Amino acid sequence: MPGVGEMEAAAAELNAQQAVGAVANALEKLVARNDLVTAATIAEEGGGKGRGVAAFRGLRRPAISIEKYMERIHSYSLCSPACFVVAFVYVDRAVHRRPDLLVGSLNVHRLMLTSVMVASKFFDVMAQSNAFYAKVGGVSNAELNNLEIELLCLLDFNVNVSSHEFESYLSHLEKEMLASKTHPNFANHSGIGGQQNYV
Amino acid sequence: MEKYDKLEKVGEGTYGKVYKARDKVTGQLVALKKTRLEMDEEGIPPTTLREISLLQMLSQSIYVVRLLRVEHVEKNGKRLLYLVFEYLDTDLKKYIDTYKRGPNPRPLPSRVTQSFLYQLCKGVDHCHSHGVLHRDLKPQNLLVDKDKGILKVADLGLGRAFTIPLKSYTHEIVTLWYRAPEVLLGATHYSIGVDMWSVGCIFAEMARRQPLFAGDSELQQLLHIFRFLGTPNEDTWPGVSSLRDWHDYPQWKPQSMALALPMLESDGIDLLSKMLEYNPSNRISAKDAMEHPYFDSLDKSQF
Repeated sequence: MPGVGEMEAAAAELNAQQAVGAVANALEKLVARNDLVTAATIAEEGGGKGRGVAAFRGLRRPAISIEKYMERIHSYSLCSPACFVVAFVYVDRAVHRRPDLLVGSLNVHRLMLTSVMVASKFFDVMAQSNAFYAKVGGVSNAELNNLEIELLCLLDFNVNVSSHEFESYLSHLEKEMLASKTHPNFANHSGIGGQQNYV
Repeated sequence: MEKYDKLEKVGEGTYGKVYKARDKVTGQLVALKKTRLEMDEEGIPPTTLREISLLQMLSQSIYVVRLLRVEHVEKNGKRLLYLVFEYLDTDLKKYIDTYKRGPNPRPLPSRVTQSFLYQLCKGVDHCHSHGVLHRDLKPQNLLVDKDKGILKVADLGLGRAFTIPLKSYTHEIVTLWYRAPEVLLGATHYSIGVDMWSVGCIFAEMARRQPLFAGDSELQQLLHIFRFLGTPNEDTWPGVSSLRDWHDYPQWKPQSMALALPMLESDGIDLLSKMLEYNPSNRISAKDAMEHPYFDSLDKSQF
């Protein structure tokens, strides 16, 4: 099968810190940008109990950064580092299918918790239960079950990721990371906004 | 689920019941596979998750069972997931049984064996060309339409996309009787060969009307295989002695496949021997199997 060899190498070499760092970096930029857009509307709506896109929105911004949150998920669940990249793919797919899904500081934690869990269930040989992820992520088991089905409906159950897709997302995330390190002041202007194929 | 009339329960899976039902509007027969979701620590079972997403990718082949839609319903506060499949009246195991038991036991017509094996190879090739290993091919997982003579691959719950091998595969796959020797010997990386081994076992089972290797433990399973095909060694299967669970086994010489399976003519024996090749990298692929002379007498234009 073409690409399987390289894929294996890329997925196996990926270390958790790099994967979490790169995904967090891309998400933080996205959240910062979207929060400016949504600041006006959020205050008017409730959070947490909705259906569809609204289900992921919390009432207040969690104190923990998205990077620390993902580190926490990884250290407890021991999912493959590649699951963070795959989770980013899911969020990107969801955003493309549902333009009303704005990834912001009120929903990014729940989106990533659910996405990482689903990625691990799909790709890892052994995955932790929803109950486990709920405890680690600080939501109830019932809510996470609900978020799981909402995410899958947003994705139309399309949770497979080809090696080609994985590679191109990974290299995009790594480039973004590099750009942020070398030009921190321009971080908000580089990449994501201009790259139509990604978040 | 008011759209469907449930007609009868046709099976019970690990995660819920399977019903034969009729679409009230179109009259189409469907199989409803119900999965309970509420109040569950596990959430959506990984097998359901994989089955849905893999079937959505594979369902366009007529040799893979068609997932018509996924219905997510709430009833009395309980959340249920229904997978709506096309309905086929039987499976290959039951089909073989009708020739084995009953008032008139007789071999399967060789044309049927040939046609079913070809359709099985088509379905398996379709999975493999989309980067999916089935990993649990067995007669119970092959659905059959008796009247039309159609066979379809089903039950992709253990299916695995081999596009992103994140960690080594589990070897807890495939019902023992259809499990490839490399899996039995603890290989951590395996590929399309595991499915082709199962295809070979199913081919022989259609010819014999009983399983080829019916072991009741992993060791017994290996010994059944070795007794028939000869104990493998570094000459017949380079690398076999470095597999995790390799031991020194009794030494058997290969038996004559033609004598053991007199109902198969020489082309059939040749194809079977290529499917039951020890070395997984030399085992015939589904695509190549479809070009084998065994199928020369089959009218392929109908597929």
